[in-house]
Amino acid sequence: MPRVLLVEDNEMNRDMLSRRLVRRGFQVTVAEDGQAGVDMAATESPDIILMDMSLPILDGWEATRRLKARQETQAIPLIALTAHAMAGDRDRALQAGCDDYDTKPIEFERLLEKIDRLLTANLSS
Amino acid sequence: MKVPSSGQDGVISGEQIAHFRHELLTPLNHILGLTEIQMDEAADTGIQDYVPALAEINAGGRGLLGMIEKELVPLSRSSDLERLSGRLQSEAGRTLVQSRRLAEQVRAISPDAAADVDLVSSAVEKLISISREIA
Repeated sequence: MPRVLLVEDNEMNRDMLSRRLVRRGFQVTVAEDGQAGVDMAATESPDIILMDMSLPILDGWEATRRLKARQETQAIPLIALTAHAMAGDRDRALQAGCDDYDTKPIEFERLLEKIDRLLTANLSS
Repeated sequence: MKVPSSGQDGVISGEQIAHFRHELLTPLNHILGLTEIQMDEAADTGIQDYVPALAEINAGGRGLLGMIEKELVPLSRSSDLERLSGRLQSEAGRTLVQSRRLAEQVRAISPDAAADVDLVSSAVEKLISISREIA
């Protein structure tokens, strides 16, 4: 069962995405801010991280940079989730070290494809 | 939500528009996500007959999303924003009637499903309230 760490501060967004992932066979742990996300990634070693970029305490951009700088978490694939589908955001996300990028409102099937692709790539590397 | 004041001649900055968009998208994410979850889970909760009603509410949400992304984002004048605010309220009002009706229809079949549809109604109410405030 693939383990997902979902870092999202909006309670309803977090609950909705968790429910849908659990229904599709994922084991989900959640963190409510960027710092908790960085800490939990190190202790839980999830198979993939879904990171909202607008987070309290430590935003998703900085949390991603820290995760990708730490040896024990840098290989965990990470998908950035943002409500700001603004020009340049995709490049910014990839520059920060995100492995992929998606926007809200979440198209769940599209997100699942991205998760599957990254999990498969990580297994074969 | 305190609306940032408009500049001269009713001109609205791109920053203000981005702020409004973000505020509106939060409840909209909830409307879309919860209706999609209920459609996915309909076979388990026993509300299969109401999937078309859920799809209609979801489509209403998609329509609102289109208005936000295609019409709100390029706006630069407060008079245009006022007009769009009125249309958002009116469209969302229709969706609210549908979600309230659906909640009552499914309550006896699945209290859990009804609770989710109640959350959809709350999200639509929030979206209407934000639409009113931005004008």
